Order: sequence, then C-alpha cells, then structure tokens
Amino acid sequence: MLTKDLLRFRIIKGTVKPQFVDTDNAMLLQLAEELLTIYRQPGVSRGEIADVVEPALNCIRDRKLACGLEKLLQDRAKFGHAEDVDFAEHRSRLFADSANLLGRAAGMSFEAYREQVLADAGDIDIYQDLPENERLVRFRDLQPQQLLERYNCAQVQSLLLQAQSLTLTIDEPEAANLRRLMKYLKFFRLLATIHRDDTKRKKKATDESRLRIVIDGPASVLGNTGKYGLQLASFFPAVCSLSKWRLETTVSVRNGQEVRLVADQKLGLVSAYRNFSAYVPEEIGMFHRHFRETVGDWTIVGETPFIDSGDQELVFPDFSFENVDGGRVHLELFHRWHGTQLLQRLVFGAANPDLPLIIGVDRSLLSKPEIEGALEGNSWFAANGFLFRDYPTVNKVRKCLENRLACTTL
Amino acid sequence: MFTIDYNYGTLLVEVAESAAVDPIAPYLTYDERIGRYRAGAYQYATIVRKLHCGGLPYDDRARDFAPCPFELSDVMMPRPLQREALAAWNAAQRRGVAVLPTGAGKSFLAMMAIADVQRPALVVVPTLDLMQQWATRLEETFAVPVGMLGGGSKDVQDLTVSTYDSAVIMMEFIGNRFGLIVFDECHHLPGRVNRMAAAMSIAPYRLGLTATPECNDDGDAVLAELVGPICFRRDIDELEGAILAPYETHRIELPLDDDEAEAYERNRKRYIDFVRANGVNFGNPRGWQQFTGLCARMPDGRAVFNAYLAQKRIAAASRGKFRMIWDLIQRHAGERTLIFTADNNTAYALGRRFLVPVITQHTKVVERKAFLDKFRAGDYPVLVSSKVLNEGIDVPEASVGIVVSGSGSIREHVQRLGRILRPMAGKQAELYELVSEGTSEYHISDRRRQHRAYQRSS
Repeated sequence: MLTKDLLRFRIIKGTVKPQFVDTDNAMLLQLAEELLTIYRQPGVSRGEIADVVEPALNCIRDRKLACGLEKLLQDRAKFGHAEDVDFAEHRSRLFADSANLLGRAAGMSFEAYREQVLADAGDIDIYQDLPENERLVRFRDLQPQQLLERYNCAQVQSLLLQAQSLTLTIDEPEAANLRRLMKYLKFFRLLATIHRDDTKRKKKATDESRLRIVIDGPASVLGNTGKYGLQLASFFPAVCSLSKWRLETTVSVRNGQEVRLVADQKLGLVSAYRNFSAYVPEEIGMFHRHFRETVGDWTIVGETPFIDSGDQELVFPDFSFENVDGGRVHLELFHRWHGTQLLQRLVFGAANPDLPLIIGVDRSLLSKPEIEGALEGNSWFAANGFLFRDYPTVNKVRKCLENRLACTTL
Repeated sequence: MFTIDYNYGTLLVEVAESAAVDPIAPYLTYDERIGRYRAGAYQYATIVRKLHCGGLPYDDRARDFAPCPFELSDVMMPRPLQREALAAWNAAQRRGVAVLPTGAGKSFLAMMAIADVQRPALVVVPTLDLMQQWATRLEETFAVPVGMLGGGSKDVQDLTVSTYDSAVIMMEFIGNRFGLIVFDECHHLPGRVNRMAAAMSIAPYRLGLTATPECNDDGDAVLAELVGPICFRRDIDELEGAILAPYETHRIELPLDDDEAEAYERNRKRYIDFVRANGVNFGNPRGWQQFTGLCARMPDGRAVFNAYLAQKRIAAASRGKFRMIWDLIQRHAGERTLIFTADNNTAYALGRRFLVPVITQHTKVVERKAFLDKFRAGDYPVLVSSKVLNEGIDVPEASVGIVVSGSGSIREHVQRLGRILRPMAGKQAELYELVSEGTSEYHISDRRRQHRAYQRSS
C-alpha cells in the first residue's frame, strides 16, 4: 500500500477525491515499464535500485505518483544478503581486536589505533550488510497496466487505513459474489450488518434489488477504533470484483481532518484478488427452462435473497422457489469446491431446523471421507438434502421441495 | 443466568430472558449485528465482580487461564523499595502504574507481582532487545519456558513476552489467556493503536512500569482506565547514591571546524530564509508539516529541504565531536561506555570510524544479543546506538554515557541517563552531552534538560 506522504488527493466540499491515473496512458505505461525493468534484474542492490530509479522519478512531473508506483514495486520485492559472506563473523573478529586495544587506549593516537586494528582485517566496510546493500532475491512480476491498476486501488486502500467502518451498497447482488464477499469478510475478521435497501426502488420503480452493508470490526460497536483500518483496506479489493457497488466512509487525512470517501464501480478499479468462485455454469439457464416447463405448482422466484440467521451466519441460496400456496423454500448447492462450507452448513441446518432451506450436494464431495461421514446418518440432510452429479435434475429438486413442504406442514 | 464469552478482543454477554442486565448495564452495548450484548474485554474483571457480588449466576466461558504455581528463585531478594511498591499495587486492587527510575528494579517488581498473582502473565515491551532481555530474566527467575511474540517468534506460554506491535496484532486471539498483564515502559501504551493491546485483554490484574509517566493529550486518562492509576512513585534524585549510582552530567560545547562552520551557515541561511519568506511557524503544532508541504510544492523546495538536512547533519556529527569522543574513550579506558546518536547514519559513521559495535533496528537479534552480552562481560568496552538502547536495556556495567546527538525530548534524555545509573559497587556514572557551539543544538539541549535529574548537577 501507499504511505501517507505518497497519497494524491484533493478535498472538495468535505469529500476526498483520490487522483486516479489513466491506466491506458502511454507515458505512464512507459514509466511503469521502466520501473518494472529495474526490478526485474535479479541480484541488484537496494542502493543500485535507488541510483537508477532516481533519474526515472525526476523525468516525470508528478514525482509523488512515480514514487507511489515505485513503493508498490518495493512491496513486491524481497531483498537479502549473499550467504557466502559472514559479515557478523567478520565484525566479531574485528571487534575483539578493537576492544583489546581500546582497553589500553590511554595515550594512543586515533590514527595508530585504527592502523593496528585494521592491520589484519583490511580497510573494508564493516557494515556492508545494512539494508541499503541488500540484494534483490525475489520479485513478484506484473504487467505495466496491472501496476497502474494496483496503484489506483492502493489510493483507496491507503485512505481506508484511516477508516473506522465503511458502508457498501450493492445493486443486483449475485449469490456467488455475495458468498465470496462474505468469505473475505470472515477472512479479515470483519463484521457486517446487512439490510435490504428499498430507497431506489421507490424512487425509480425498478426491479433492482439492493443491499446495504455496514462493515466494521467486533470492537467497533464499543466506540471509535482505528484497529480495523488495515483489515478494511485489505478487504477492499474484494469489493472491486462486484459488478454494481458503492462504498462510502469517513477517513481522517492531513492532521486528523475528517472527510468523506466515496467510490463506486464507475471508477473502474480492478481487484487484485483472483475470482475463483463466482463462476456461474450455463446449466443454470437450462435448469430454469426445464423447471418452468415441467413443474406446474412451483416457480423459481426472480430475485435471490440472503437468509440472515443472526450471529453473522448468512446463507446465500442459489435458487428460491415459491409454490402455489405462497410457501417459499430456498435451495443452496454445494459443488466440489464447497466442501468446507458444506460441513458448516450441516451444523447450521441442524441448529436451525425451521429455516425453509434445502441443500444439494455434488457426489464428487463424497470422495472426501470427512464429508461422506458427515452426511451419513445426518437426519437434517436426510430430510432437507439430496445428492446430484455435476448439476441437479429438476426432478430431484422438486421431490426435495415437496418433502420439505410436507415436513413444514406437519 | 449470564454467559460471558471472549470474542476477538471483546466480551459477548448473553442474558437469559429472566435475568435483568441492570448491575452490569453500564458496561454493555447491544450489538445488533449479532443480536447480543458486547463489552470491552478490559471490563471483564469489573463485570464478573459485579455479577459475583450481586449473587447473580453466570457462566464464565471467557477466561482461558488457571492458577500457575510461579515461584521466585531463592537467590532473588526484594529490596524494601520493591516490597513497598508491591504493597501499593496490591492495595490498588492489582491495577496500577509504578513509576521508578531506571535501575531501581522495575523488572523485579513485575516478577514479584507474577509470583504474587500466580496466574499466566504477559509482559509487553517496546523493543525486541527488551523482549529478549525479559525472556531471559523470566526464564532464570521462574525456571519455566517463556514464550515470545515478535521478531519472527510466535510462541505463547504461561509466561510470555511480547512487543507492543505484536501484542496489538495478536491480542484478539490471546487476550483471554492471561490473568496478569505487565506493560513495561507503559508511557508507550496510550497511543491510538497501542492502547488496543490493553483494551482487548481480559487480564484482571494489570501493572504499568515507567520512569517517565507523563503522556500527551488524553494519555494519562487512557493509562488510568486501561492499566490503573499511579500507585507508587520515586524519582531519580530521591534514589541517587542509595539505590542508583551517584552521577555527574556534563555539557561540552565544541566549535565546528572552519569549513564545517561555513557550510553550516550557508545551509542554515538558505533554510531560515525560506522559513521566514513563507511564514512557517514552528511554534505551531502544524509547523513542521507546513514546512515539508512547502518543500514538496515549491520549485526550490527540495534544495531547501536538503539544506535543512545538511546543517543538521553538520552540527550533529562534526569532526570536533569525533575528536572529543576519542578523548573521552581514552579518559575512561577500562570503563564501559555507551554512545547515543539521534540517527542511524551517525551511529554507523561512529561504528566505522572507531571500529566498534553498533546496535540499531537493523541489527539482527542474534548479533545484538552477542553485542550486549559481550558489552556486559567487558569484552567490548564501547557500544554505539541510535535509539534502541534508550529504554529498558539492562547494562549495569555501563558507567559512561556520551550523547553525541538527540532530540529535544526530555523523556529520551532522562532514559539515556538511566542507562548508566544501575548501581554497582564503587561506580560513579558520568553522562557527557556534546553540543556543537553556535548551532541550534544548544537550544535543543536546553529543552531536553528540563528535568529535575539535570537540575541538581552540571
């Protein structure tokens, strides 16, 4: 991330406006490439990098921007010392000699002292292993445009270091994306208060669903704390992966001045986090069609809700169904990459038997002994779950829905 | 029935429907995010005491520690001053700050508290050197394995030493595992981030140790809330000659060489002209930021900033000071000398020039331990440091201190004096402060000497 002195922003009417860069700007791409070239040389020392970087930084009018880009590269670099020279051992020998002479230094000239100590050791730099002499041993490379994208994202992240909480509004949320967002929240030990926000719907009468999520940490409710700034900043790239979002918070800048920070998807910020789980198989469309054609007394409800059972346990169903009598049941699917979540859900389901929730489990998960064992003899799963191969058939889902409804009616 | 759980540095309190929260209501906040009451972990003792005294049933699932039979080794004999301090801390319900000068036995007081409380204890310290030193002493004193958090170590034991940085990061995971928490050099605690180390721990017993408790802004109040009030206090001059070594302080003014004086004046003039022309007011708390901001924006700003650094560097590391250091080393040959500088560059310049060991934050743990061990043993007579030896490090053998450069901080200057005051038979401590004549260093020196420890001798 960027240090405070490298942030570029303006404050307009109480709102901080980070100065983003154009990630297609040819001059900036060239500068990024030049800086990357310097860091792509294995074995170069910090001091040598500083010597070469300095002219590159001077070439650009906005030195703060160039220094910011270089800071991001420093964060991706690992430096160390050549292992074949034991500087500590060399110093140890030399200091034994110097200590011996200093013990009887009275009357000795400084020049004579140095000459005697260095007679055996030679006049070399005894502190050659200081950080500025360390050499580059590893660099996580990236493309020039990626560096500019990271820079833009880092501008917001570094401001968020000073935030105590943030409010996130998500339009048309998709279950897979929300699930992923919650995964990051848990990973960074943050808490969320989620509300459905109907404001826009009332004004524009659209069908859009909107969630409003306030994110902070466990101790935030006890008073203002800056403890979670780093966690909020680290969480931010996960937000950038969403398709329609808006973030709002208050941050302190320049001597504690409190200002608003607003960001949304229109800024085009790119997440550095790789998105594994938002993949939506094309079978979903087929399932929708087939279900509509073959099941008369159930319909798939248009929007996907989340189920909040309290205690930060949120369920994001893949489908929600409604029968002719208005009864609603939600379906959550567990594919081969959802083993851990499945185990958590089995515990959660057993503890919340009244939730109108059924689950489908991909048979491939049965290859894991712990999952096979957890499903075997699980009474909640027996009543509310089914197994499928790759993607559930309409028939299996319908049977499970009816089973669930019968249990509820009884 | 109340149920108390520890949750990431806070307490979760569940209240059965039939119970009323009244007795502990002032400490609870309803957390809508999870539908339960939450409280600061540091309120644990108060909440449990209220429930206990009120005869209210509760299930304490927060506490994850049990009594530990810690015993001080037989050879350790407390001094009357330490007994007095422990009694004062006990009288303050084992929550309080003891203010004692360096060398008066703060560490041993903490060990007496550990043995008295008989609960797992966490000692929080500001530097890696102190972490090592505390771990060694605790291991010797109690003959049990001691865990460390910081500098790459992540080992938690019933006796653990942590840096403030690591404690802030780790406390949400370990905050319910200790019954006693000791904050060494506790004037570091009230900082906006550091205070979380105390706020997120449930430890009912808390001891703060410092020689210089005065804090800025709301620091005193924060310290009182999170650790406790000052329960015992003694100053340097009250203990000199009895518990601390007798000492003398000397300020030596040294002229710059002609070329240095010319360069100093030239750079100083450029810097001062810029400050005056732009109306920078260093009397204002924002003065420094105003100056650096102007340096970043103005066309000649970088050159002015370089001039500022140059005049400071010339005054801090003049050839006259180097000559005087050699004179003092010769004068005190056979004694142990600590040399203090304001910055790493000067420290390494001295290390290279006099071919002596230097300890800074860049010195690796193994080597810094070797340097300190050899200095204590007398194998190395001189040790140079910028700031890491200012606080806490126990080198009773050191009798000479040379302050080559430093800030205007009274705390820093008192701590540096404290390094050479640990008592030893026949020891006379001498602190030399080298100041470049006719430079701004003189005023900085005046500022840092505003303490009773410097008023009684010069």
